[in-house]
Amino acid sequence: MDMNEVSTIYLIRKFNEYYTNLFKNKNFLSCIPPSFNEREWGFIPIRYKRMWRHLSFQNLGEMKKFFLKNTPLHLYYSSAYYEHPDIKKMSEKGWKGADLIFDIDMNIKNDLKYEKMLLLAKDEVIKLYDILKSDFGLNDIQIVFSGGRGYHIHVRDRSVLKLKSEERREMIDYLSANSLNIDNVLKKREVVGDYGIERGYYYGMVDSSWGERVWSSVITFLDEIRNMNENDAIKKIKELKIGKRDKFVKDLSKKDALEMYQMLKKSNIVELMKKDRKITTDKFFKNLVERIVENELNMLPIKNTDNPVTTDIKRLIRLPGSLHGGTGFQAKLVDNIDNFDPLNDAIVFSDENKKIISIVDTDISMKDNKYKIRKDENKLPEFVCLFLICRGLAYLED
Amino acid sequence: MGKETIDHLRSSIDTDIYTIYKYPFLDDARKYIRDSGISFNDLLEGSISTIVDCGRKRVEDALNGKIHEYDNPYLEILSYPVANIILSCINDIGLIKRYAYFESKRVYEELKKEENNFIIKIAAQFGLRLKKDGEKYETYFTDYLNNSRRINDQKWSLVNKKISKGWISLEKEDFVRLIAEKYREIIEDTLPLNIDKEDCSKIINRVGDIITCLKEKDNREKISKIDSDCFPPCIKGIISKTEKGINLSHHERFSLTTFLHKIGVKKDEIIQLFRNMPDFDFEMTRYQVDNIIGESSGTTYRCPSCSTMKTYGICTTERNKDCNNVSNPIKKYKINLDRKYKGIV
Repeated sequence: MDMNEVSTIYLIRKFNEYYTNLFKNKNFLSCIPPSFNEREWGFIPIRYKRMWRHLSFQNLGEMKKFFLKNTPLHLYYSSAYYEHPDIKKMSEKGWKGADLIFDIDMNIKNDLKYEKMLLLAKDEVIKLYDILKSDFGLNDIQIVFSGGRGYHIHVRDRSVLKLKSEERREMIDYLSANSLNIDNVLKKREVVGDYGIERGYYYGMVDSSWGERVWSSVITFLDEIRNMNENDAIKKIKELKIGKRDKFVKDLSKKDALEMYQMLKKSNIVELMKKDRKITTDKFFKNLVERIVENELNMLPIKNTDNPVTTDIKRLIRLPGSLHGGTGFQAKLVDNIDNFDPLNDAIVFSDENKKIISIVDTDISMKDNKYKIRKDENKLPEFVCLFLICRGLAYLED
Repeated sequence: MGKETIDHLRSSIDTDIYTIYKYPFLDDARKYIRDSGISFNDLLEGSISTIVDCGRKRVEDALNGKIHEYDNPYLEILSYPVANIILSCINDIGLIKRYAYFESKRVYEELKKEENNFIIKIAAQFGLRLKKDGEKYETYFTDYLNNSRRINDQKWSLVNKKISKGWISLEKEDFVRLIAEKYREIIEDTLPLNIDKEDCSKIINRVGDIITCLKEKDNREKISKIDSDCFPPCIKGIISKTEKGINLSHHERFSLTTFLHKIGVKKDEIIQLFRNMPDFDFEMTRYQVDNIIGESSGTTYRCPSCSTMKTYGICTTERNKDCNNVSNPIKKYKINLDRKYKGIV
């Protein structure tokens, strides 16, 4: 739907007011990326929805002045640092390095409700942040709610700035663990006795970070089951679903699940696993561990990053603190991800009631309230109105 | 200058020469060359023919896909700059890449036998970060990524490595492989040297047959019949890499093979294309191509879609605008063929 003139003028006024206040605010400085004068800037104006890019600003005053004059619907800067950020030909800009960016976007599961989607995205962000810290030892990581469907992670640790596209892709492969299967984390090894090689084999933990990570969650899982009552344990074991590979065609029967539970209860098998980092070949039990591994390989890796965003070392990325023109939410710098609630914390407009014409019936949860929106006329807080206008679902009456 | 000079050098050299002749890129080796009193001009003029022959041998070995073997350490050090001059004068990127590959492979084999202290020293010269922890070597992940990216082996992918706080632990053998890869990159980055044309002609006279041999090889490798003009940019990109002898990633090899097979290029011709790869191994290539086109596995793999190509980083076009928004490289090839031969625009 093309926005009508009244709505457009209203949007420009509200966005402009927002940016006027933002630029006065001291906190805004924390949103400005380091070396902003070496970056390319771009924006989409509210009225003519075409990307305007290859801008560069030598000082903040210049930038503020420009964006108050040209109110952006979307506002971006380059993850890359350039010798000449304002040259139009990409090859002549003189690439000097780029922040490492991850875009967590739950786009794929579009059957999900928005709120649920954002919660899942948050879990992914926490997983990603932890691995970037523990495995890669990276510092200077910013988490930003994108204002849309997910989060952006900006890594500005000096060690990553020079990474090329293919090296960033290798990091993505690591984080998503797409090429991992059970053989990469649990290896079949022959049992060697005192008299040379004996018959038989066991499964040992593979000496890699993913091997360790999966192994320790297998142990946690087994410990959990062991401490459950019989019914809960059986339920949990039976929930272990068949993986992509045709190896485990059958679901476990209730009888099998019970036997596995009993074995875990009365044997010291988990203690041995903790101590020796291997499991014996009891087929029955191995079947359980294989299922858990399969399960963890689906749960632990970070599967929902938009890969081209990370591998493109000349990408434009939304400025933290700016507004997302598709929702009217703020692309919000997140201090504490655990407590962050986008549908509260990223809402910037007032709750003053306003009359608006909706073109759909829909429910929206924002600021801890559920808003029932009916087709035609509604009276709703300003922040809901702006959300609907940005989404193209409603307009102001002429 | 003649035989006496070499003899004189031999007598004035300390024992260290037996280490550094294997690694002519070391600072010590450079010092040795400087101290030898042999000038760039001496090398160009070819007045010391044994040195030139030895340098030439280095290049020939690479061209023939052999690791350079040597028996005379004194000559080897001096022949190294000569090889660089020859390569610069021939100025063929494919040959340089090939030379870099075999030279680094030679160094890898030597390094495997070295003591820890020596490895630490070389790593430092190459700027590879290193922490020694007992028998393990640890290197920083960016150095690892940078130097392992051309190794086509699952074992090397990060996902199978142990990495903690940015440091990756490696066996000695793998760490020295990284050094060798770094060396390979350095050779590729330094060559060709900027040498005066007139000076080059003196050298070229002595290595003419290498050039002839190189040209024959080139001709054998051109693909026939298929109109490669009409290939989509992604495939053109991969082919131009093969022409330059740049090693392809697994995904690139896979995409190229599936694409060419689909449009009817014969198996042997596909294999020919890989001939220029620095690490070309006929049997291995045939096995892999067989596998992909379904002769051995029964599964014929399809050419990856444009979006997959994008994820692999092979597709470099922006938002498909150069490719008529097709979903697969094959379609783009057909569109291009139509345009060219039926005059449809």
